[in-house]
Amino acid sequence: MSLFGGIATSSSGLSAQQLRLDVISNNLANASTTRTAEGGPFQRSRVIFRPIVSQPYWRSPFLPEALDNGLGKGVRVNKIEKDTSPPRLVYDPTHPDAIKTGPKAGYVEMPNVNVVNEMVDMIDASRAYEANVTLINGSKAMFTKALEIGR
Amino acid sequence: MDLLNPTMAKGSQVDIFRTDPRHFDVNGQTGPLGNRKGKATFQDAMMSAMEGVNADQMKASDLYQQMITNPDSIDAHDVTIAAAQAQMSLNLAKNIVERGLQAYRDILNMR
Repeated sequence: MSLFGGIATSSSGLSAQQLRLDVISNNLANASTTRTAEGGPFQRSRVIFRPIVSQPYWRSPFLPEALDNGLGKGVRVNKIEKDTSPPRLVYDPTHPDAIKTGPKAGYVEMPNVNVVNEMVDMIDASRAYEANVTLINGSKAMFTKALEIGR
Repeated sequence: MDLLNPTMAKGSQVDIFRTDPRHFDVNGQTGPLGNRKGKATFQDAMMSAMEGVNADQMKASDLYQQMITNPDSIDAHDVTIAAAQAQMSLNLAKNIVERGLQAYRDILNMR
């Protein structure tokens, strides 16, 4: 626990939410991309988060797991993984990327990006960002109040 | 040297010395424990605190420069958080100096 420890934790949260917003904006920008470098339509990405914990050097076998970690240090991004849900099929035989043969002839594989879900995720990310900013302001207000002790 | 000698005490500080000859240092001399070069003075504490404050201010101004020259490499909240931290440490140092001066003035005003 240090002077700026809470602020560093919130700062990691801000970076994480900003990255999440960037991923969401990439998903939304590519919501109609039917052609990618690796073939097939665009697949939406998702950010997986993990906490930053202060790992003890030696784990005691007698101590239960829940007591080991102590104060966490924020959040970090574990990975940005692609969503492997099947793409959306839209019937459009005149599209240049339409499937030519087979049972799905005439269908175009559109990305599995649901615009409404992405907008809700965006609202969630910006609210979480605002919550972290409020926390930093609260930390600073608490610190300023501490300076008034004995005034 | 005699530990009970009153001249060995400076104010409220009594240095602790090694008396067993097997504990003396390389020159065969004894000396105060801790091997400090000199006493830590109020000035040293003040200067190290000021260096900490200065480091925070420099970090904030470096981030400002980085934001102007290379805006893609930096997040907006990093800059504002560094500025807030610089302001907080400056406030803290200013308050501590004020308290120190207030204590000094109180002592002077004791008549």
